[in-house]
Amino acid sequence: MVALIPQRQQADYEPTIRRGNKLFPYLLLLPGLAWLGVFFITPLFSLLSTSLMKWAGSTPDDGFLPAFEISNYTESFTLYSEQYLRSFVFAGLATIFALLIAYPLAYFIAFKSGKFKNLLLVLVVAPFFASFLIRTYAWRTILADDGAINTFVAGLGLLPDDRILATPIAVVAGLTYNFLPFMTLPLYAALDRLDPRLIEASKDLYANPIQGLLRVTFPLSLPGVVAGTLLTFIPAAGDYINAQLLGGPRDKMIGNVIQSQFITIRDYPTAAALSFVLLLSILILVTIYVRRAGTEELL
Amino acid sequence: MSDSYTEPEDLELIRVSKRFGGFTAVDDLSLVVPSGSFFALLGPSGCGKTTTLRMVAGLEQPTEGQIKLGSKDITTLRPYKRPINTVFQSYALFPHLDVFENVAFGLRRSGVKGKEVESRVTEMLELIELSHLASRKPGQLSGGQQQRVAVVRALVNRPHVLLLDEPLGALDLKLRRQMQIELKRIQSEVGTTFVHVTHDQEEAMTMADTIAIMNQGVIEQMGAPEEMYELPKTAFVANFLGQSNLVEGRVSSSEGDNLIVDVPGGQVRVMKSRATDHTGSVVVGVRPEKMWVVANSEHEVENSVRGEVIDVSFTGVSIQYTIESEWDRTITCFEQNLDVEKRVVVGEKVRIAWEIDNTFGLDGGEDLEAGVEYLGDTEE
Repeated sequence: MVALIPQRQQADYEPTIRRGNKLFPYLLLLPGLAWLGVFFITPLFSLLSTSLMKWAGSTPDDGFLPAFEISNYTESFTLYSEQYLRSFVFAGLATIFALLIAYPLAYFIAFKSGKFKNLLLVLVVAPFFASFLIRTYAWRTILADDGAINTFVAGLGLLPDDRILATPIAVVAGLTYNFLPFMTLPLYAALDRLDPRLIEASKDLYANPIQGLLRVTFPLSLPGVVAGTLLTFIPAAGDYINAQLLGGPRDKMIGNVIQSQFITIRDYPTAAALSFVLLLSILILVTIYVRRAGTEELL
Repeated sequence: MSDSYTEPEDLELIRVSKRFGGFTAVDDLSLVVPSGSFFALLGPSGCGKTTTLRMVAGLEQPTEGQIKLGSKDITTLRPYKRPINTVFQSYALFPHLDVFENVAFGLRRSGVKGKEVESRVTEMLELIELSHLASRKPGQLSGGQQQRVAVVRALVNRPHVLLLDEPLGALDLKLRRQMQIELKRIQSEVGTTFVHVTHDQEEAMTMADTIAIMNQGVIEQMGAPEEMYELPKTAFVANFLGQSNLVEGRVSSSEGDNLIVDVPGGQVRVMKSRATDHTGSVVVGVRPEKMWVVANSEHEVENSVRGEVIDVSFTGVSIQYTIESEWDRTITCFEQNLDVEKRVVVGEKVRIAWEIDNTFGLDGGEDLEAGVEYLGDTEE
């Protein structure tokens, strides 16, 4: 076929928005930067210096001396690698389950809920009206050995120990539940702003509903998926409440170790080193994840 | 989805209605779009034309009625199972896919394999001269480029019917005129049935072989553009497709092939074949460009009306007179810019004439102002 349409140059158009003062945008950043400086950067350095201190005497009461004790770090790896690994596995599983539950939920709220949209959004956030601790405690009752759920699932013969409470299942379930709103809300925001005409266009171009979901809806909601998984994975990896209230002695996460080092043993340098390693490993995992998700151009 | 252009398949809507709650968007509409034609659904916003298009695409289900493609009933067929593609108003290009993958989308979903996808997409991108932008994302294209990608994204699937939902609405006037001609040319090249929805009467007349004018969910009149322009059957068509001067009157007698209609200030003659009603009260009309200012008031003319010029506007090609006429209505007369010497001025009493052949008669009781409010409305 011959070329039918003469080419037209791309319209050059530059938005000409000018603000009198070029410094103005940076001034807007100032309160946030100040907050970050006082409550994040400063404690971070304090944490870093604590993590390298050594014991002054034989008990924590003797205090700690500034030093360069790299062994705090090497020990935190050698002694607690199991807890680190378990934290990431639990947090990863909770993130996957939360995504599987939250995606259909957010999809429904965004596209199918009609006039109930706001009500449903309030319901998603409603658990926040009760304290995190109380809600997690409630799960002890829900998953209790003589409770309905446990009786039912154990009756099916699916549980090796005939119980849910004090097993990894309970910890992952608690984490999934507790961070579900953090997954649902960004997913909802991403799906809600998705142009429904794009879904119509996919139908028009022979995509059945599943292809439309995989080829159009899901890729376009990726920014929400990334935000939701980060908001779930990061706090879940450092969580200790769920493992403490719902897990057994063999289900300790790194958060439990840090908590006991800080509060019970009061070995601040070790606790600080553990925290620092946790922080860095999350940072590395997240960087790899965001790179691989390839959402830079969508964000 | 199939590759057959050959089999002629008329698109047929049979007594189709669509109601949203208590609102009737499309009311008992029947029409046939012949295979291979360029068909325009023309009407003001909210007249039901887009709803009609969406029912053909399968994006809405008719409340009543049947939609057929050839002998096949497609009324309840899912959109992705119809051999029909749409060029959406806002283009609806997939922002996460590049131009090539946007165009390839339909082919890949319908199971066309690698090499063929490549050759068909490449062919289409050459057709619109955008091959060099194949790896760009839609967001990096201009409006005109996006529009062309949207057209070939639909066309590459070789649909039996291509639906165009106000596809040029977002373009500036100059580019829109250019795209109208190009779309028309693409249509004659590929021979696919095009159904074009627009509220721009000039666009519909430029592009389509057949126009259906829709108003409030029903088709007012359907036919070739010239035919409908020269002989509108309702006041809405007379006012919406171009402009008209209309006056209410009463048939007093007939004289051979003509009816004589009493109007305020005199009589007007109209051919019986050009009148929808031959008795009682009627509406008589004439297009402004068919009228001229009579120089010598004694000159013998077929039809005429007297009045006072209240506005003269010079557009270069023509001069537009606004006249307060003895019909008790303001009428408009476009005179071609032929004579530099003699011009009528504001306040002058004039006699405006036109031929019987250019007069048309409508049913009495038609709302003379129907469709006037959309005059010059080219933007949504």
